[in-house]
Amino acid sequence: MAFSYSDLFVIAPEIILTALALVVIFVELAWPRCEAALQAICAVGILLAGAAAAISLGVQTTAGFGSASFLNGMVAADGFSVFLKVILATIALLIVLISRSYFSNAPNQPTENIGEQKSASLVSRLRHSDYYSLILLTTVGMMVLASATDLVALFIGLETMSVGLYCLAGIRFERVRSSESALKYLLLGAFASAFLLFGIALIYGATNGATNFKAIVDALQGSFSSGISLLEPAPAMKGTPLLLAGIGFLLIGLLFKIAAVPFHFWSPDVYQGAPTPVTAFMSAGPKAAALAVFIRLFGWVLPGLSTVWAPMLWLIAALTMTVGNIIALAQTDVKRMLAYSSIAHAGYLLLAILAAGNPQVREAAAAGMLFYLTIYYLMNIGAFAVVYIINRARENSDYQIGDYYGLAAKQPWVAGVLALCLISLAGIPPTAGFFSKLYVFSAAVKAGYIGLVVIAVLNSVVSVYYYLRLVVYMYMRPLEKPLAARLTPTTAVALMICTIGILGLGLLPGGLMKQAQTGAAQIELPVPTVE
Amino acid sequence: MELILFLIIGLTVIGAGMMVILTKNPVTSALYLTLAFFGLAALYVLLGAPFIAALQVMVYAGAIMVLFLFIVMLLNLRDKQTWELTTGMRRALGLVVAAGILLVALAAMKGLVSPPAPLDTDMGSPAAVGLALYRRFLLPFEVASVLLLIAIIGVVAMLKQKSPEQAPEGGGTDGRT
Repeated sequence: MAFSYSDLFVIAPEIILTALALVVIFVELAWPRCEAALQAICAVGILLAGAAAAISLGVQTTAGFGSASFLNGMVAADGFSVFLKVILATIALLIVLISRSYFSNAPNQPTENIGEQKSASLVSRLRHSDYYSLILLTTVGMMVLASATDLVALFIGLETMSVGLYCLAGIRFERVRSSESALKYLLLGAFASAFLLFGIALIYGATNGATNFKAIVDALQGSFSSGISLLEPAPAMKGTPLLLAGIGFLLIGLLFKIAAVPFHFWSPDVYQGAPTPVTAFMSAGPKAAALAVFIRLFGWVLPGLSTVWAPMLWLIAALTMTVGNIIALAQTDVKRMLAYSSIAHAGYLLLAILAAGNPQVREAAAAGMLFYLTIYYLMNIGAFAVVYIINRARENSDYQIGDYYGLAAKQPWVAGVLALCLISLAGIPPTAGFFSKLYVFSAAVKAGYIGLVVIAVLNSVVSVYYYLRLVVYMYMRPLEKPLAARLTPTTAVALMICTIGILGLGLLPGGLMKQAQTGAAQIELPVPTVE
Repeated sequence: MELILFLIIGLTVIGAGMMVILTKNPVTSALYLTLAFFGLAALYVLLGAPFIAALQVMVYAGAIMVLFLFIVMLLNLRDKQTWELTTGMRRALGLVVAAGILLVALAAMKGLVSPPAPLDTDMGSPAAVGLALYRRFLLPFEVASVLLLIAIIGVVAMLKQKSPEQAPEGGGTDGRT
């Protein structure tokens, strides 16, 4: 049977979000100009989707864990993917909260080439529901990507996510920066997708027509029986050149999506040009979804070939951390600085992938990555939300560091949240950022990557400089220009969630880590039921 | 016989693909792309997938290429107008990268000692394609519809912001149907 009633539980979050996207469009058709209602509908729906993800896990657990294979083995319904779906739903919720009135009243937002008056009338033609439904549908793509256990589901999830992000980056089409950002992202992203697809085709050829992860594992082990336990250390496999080339191309596609170093050139320009709430979304969501499928693929499907891919990934991780941090030092534009900082964080997260290549520590690595991703989106969305508030308060279209001089005197709360996010991004102990690095680094040390962890720690020290520089400017420099920052209630709620998360998980990381460990311990590869 | 046909069609596709990027005139480029699509359709027939071949002709060579040509003509490019994006340095770099990828692909093929397992002769029939879509690949198939929905919403959202002077004539392109 290809489809059964219980399959609906597994994809309930995706179904809810898709339906919600359509509801949002029709609600605005019926009652135009009611952004608050749209936001409320989105928030409630996203919470429902997150709850549905958790409930689906409960239903599955009572039905007998590990035996079921849903939707023909296309997606996993294990604790790992449910954890990620909850992360992604929370990201979507925070983005919806901070996006309030982005399009309705933007008098302070100058446009480069169009007059102020005309721009206001143009902006009013854009409906809020377009934006919110794109956020929701992109989240659907991310959820499919994060839970994919089949190369076809992986690709379609990745494309759904990417196309949504191209549209979101260019949603302020009348602005040169926004449309440039969308075009750059589209062209380079399509190129990377082509590499990924070519890799999938080669793997398909090398494994006698397998796209399902479990089927690939079986094909690689040369036995087509599914009796091999996943908990056993995978035997060393000797890949054929065809398979190795396929893995290489797949690696390029995935590394592009997380903006690892040789493939990172798009990221600062796209981050800078996209509307700030979208940038926050871009820096958090795709990274979480792509890394989830990355660790599942390389830790659970291809660990036997880790002698081949680990050295490559080692070099890329080292480069990503170092280049990201070094270039971030020289940035005077806060949005670009955060873009390079997110490149550096992708490098730290690659440590978890590397550690997952070792079957003994792969669960610790996956748990560390889940914890890191949770903290990472809280810090990043918090920081970008403040950048967005400050940018709207200033009369300019760029994000110069000078705008932040003396912010603490005028806006103590906003400055405090940004300072907390930056300190957490730097990984200084009382904040959760410290523990997220600690868990990933310790997993990497257990897997034997001591040299790389030393590089990572040195990089963290370097990063302290540019994070704290901004904090120092906010607290030590005098206020240069008057500032009238307006904090909408929903943004305040989002900032509060970020603050509580960073502080709470920094003081008591145990609960979340336990949850992450349970999730990581449950990673499984469902078997296809139909051929 | 099959090998000869494959070589002829394969070389045609590669040649047409090269011409797409080598010709300066966008209309000529688009026409060469059509040729490449027809060649691909012929390759699908050789692989025993006539249904996919028919779809390839109808969707790509038919619908999408007509759209391409319309857009190219609407853009109103003059013959002299060419893209001078490439400098000598970039061209050399591109050549090196392309050669590298070719080497990887050749190395990958070297490991193929035996041909892959033969597929069912029924593999390319409409019924088989439908069954694969609705049974084996049900979820990706449904998610693909979400992908298309995103594309529609995105295009409408972007085009709506164009100022009336910038928008092409005819309100239909506004995206509001």
